[in-house]
Formats: sequence, structure tokens, C-alpha cells
Amino acid sequence: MMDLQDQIKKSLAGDLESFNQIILSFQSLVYNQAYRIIGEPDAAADATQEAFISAYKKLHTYRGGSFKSWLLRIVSNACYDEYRRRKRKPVVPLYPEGDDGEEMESASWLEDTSEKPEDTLMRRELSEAIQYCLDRLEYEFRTIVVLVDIQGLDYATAAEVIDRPLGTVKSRLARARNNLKDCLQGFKELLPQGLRHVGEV
Amino acid sequence: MKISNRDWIQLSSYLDGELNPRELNKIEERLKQEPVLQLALEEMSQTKKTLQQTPKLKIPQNFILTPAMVGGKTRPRPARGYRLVSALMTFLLIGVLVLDFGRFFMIGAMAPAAPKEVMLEAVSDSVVEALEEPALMEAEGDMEADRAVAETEAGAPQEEEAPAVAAEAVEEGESVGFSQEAESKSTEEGSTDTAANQADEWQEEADVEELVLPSQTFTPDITRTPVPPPPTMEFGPDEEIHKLERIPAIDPFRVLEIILGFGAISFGIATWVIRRKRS
Repeated sequence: MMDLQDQIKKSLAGDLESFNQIILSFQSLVYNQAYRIIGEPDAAADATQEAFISAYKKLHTYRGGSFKSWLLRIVSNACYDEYRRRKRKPVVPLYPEGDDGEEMESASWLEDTSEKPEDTLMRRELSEAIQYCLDRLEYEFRTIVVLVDIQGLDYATAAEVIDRPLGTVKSRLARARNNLKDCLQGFKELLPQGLRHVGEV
Repeated sequence: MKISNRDWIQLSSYLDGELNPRELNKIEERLKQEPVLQLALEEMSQTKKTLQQTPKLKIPQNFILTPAMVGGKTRPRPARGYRLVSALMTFLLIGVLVLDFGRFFMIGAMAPAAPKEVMLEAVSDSVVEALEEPALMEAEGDMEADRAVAETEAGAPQEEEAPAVAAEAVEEGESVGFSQEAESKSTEEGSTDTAANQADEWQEEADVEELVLPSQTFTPDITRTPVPPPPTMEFGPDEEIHKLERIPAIDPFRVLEIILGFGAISFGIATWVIRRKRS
């Protein structure tokens, strides 16, 4: 299997297949990032595709270092563009329509059907609760909390990705967590057993 | 006890291990002493754990690229280009309109005066001439009248007017004494002088009067050299004038406005159509 740096070099030489190998490695990360920021599957898919196209075209700007953070930066920009575009247009429903023409109540079309039904239900409810609370945050707060708490970036990398000072990341992350704590309190029965005392303090 | 924003930031950074050693010591001491702060840290820690357990979503599709996707020509460049051109032309149109209105307000006020001046220039000579003609005629008339007066005075002196004219004309010098003498003589109706002597005296008096005729004080040169009529502007027939006026003047501002306006609208429509097709 080719190393990431080799794939990048070949991609820079115009080898699209090598870049597609990189895409296969990062597409889940990128899509999840986009979905958690935008909150709509179609928009997230569009943003992900745009991000990979943009990444291929701007690959010459990659100067080494963490490829993941470089890619997440491009994704964040693509998400912001998509977010603004969607804001100008009529809102697309979060849940797609079923065969009967009614909205499906959960994002079940995204679920892993190989799980047990109980686990699937729990995951779905937790995912919905978190997304519900994330959607209530301002865009930049949401982006930071997704980068740090969901994607697991450190503050410096998150600051680099969103192109903001370290202090801004610290303060916005604290405020975002505080707001999420209050929001998640309303869903405590949906949270895993060990996490149900969130907001009780 | 309420936790301040700064404390929340410190707790959040402490949770992620992003505090420097000094801040770390400080917050750890406070956590030992302040149970409220400790509980808040616990809350935040649970929130973070919840977020970390966010389920990963399955991707709805593969996002691999095809040559068509990165081919450049398939990208929405034309729409962007059209939009840019449309915006540029709109800005230029606004600029040209502003200049045009500025020109209208600044020069437009003067524009009606210009033709008037030209017309005045054209007709001034003839008008002045026409205005001066009666004066010239008047002056000539005066001159002839003066001559007639002088002749009649020379031939048949008028008893009342001649002395008065003499008094007006000759105010200083020797003629004064002469006029006084003439006056005294004219008042003596029944004198014993002969008619020949009187005629001589009146002839001398008339000679004196010829030097100071009123017409000579008005326009002395006219009496000597008749002024030829100044050349007048020859106007063409009315049809020619109207023909000249009817020649259409192409204003570059109008042309620019039309071109820019048409271009801005065309490119704007093209952009809208392209974007509509894509969406």
C-alpha cells in the first residue's frame, strides 16, 4: 500500500487515481465533519464533494505537516460556502421523504444496518440529540466544538483550521460546551447510562 | 456562587490539557477549595464525553473524483466570469451616468447661453449698424441744417438767434468783445449805419459762427468723410440653417451608456440562466 506522501506526490503529478486513494481514506472523516457542521445530509455530501475537488486543485498549496488538518480546513471553507448557499435558498428538510410521501422521522438511511436494533436505536437517538443541540449553536461555535470534541483536534490545530487566534478557540469552545451542556440536559434519558447526569450539577 | 466566563474558559482548557503550568497550578488549587467549580468541571467533562461518543455516520456515497469533475471546463467558471463582467459593466455604467449628469449640470446651465452669444456676435454688427444709422442720418441732417442756417445767417441775419449763437459759440477771447459789439449794434434799429456796413458786419459774424456749429461738436468727422456701411453678415437661406441643425450629433456618453447598459443586462441574464440551470 502506498504511503500518503507518495500518493500526494503522484496526485501532484496529475495522477487522479492516487488522489482517489486519499479520498477513500478521508471521505468518512470529511463527510462526518461536514454533516455535523451543516446538519443536512445532502448539503454535507455536496460540501464533501466540493471539498475534495478543491483539495485536488489546491494540492500544490499543501506544505507538509498534518494532511488531516489541511484537509479539514478546506472542508470547513466548503461547509461555510454550502451553509451560506443553503441559507439563501429554501430550507431542505433534514429528513427525506419516505415511500408514503411523509418525512422519515430519523436519519435511518444513514444507519449501519449490521448493528443490533437496540444499539441502532440508541445510536440514532444520541446522534439526533447531539445534532439537535449542535444546530442551535452559532456557526463558528459549532465548527470549533466539532473540530475539538468530535474530530479530536488540539486547540492549535483547530485555530489553524478555522484561521482564528488560539484565544478565540478557547473562549468559543468553552461557551459552546456550556450551551451544549444545557441543551443536552433535555435529552438526558436518551444519553448512555454513564452520561445521564449531565446538567444535573 | 456563579461561575464567570473566564472560569469556564479555564475549566475547558484544563479539561483539554491546554493550560500552562502556572495556570494549571492556580486552577487546581481553586478546584480543591471551591466545590462549585469542581462540579462545573464534572459537568463539562460529561458533555465532552458525550460529544466524543457521537456516532460516526456512514457515508451516503463514494466521493472519488472523475476527470470531468476536475477538468476545469466543467466547473462553473463561466457563470462567475459573466457575473464579474456584469458587475463591472454596471459599475462603469454608474460611473458614466454620474459623469454624464455632472456634465449636464455643469455645462448644461451654460449651454443655452452659448448659441445666444454666437447669435449676438453674428448679428451684432448689423444691429449696431442699424442702431447707428438713424444717428448718422440725424447727424447728417444736423450738418445740413447747420449749413442752411449758416447760409441764411450769412445772407439774411436773424436779429434774435444770431447773437445767442454767437454768445454760445464764443465764450472767451476777442470774439467776446466782438459779439457784445454786434449785440449792441443789433439792438440799435434806428441807427444811421448803412446797409452795406451792416451786411459786412453780419458776414463777419457768420464767419465766426461757422467755427462752432453744434453739429461740429457732435460728429465732426462725419461732415468730412462719409462712413461707408460696415460689412454685414450674410445669412444663408433658412433651409440651409435647418439642414445644419438637423445633422444628428452622436454623443459618446449616450453610446457608452447604451453599450454598458446592454452588456450589464445581457451578462446578468446569462449568469442567472446558467445558475438556474445548475440549481
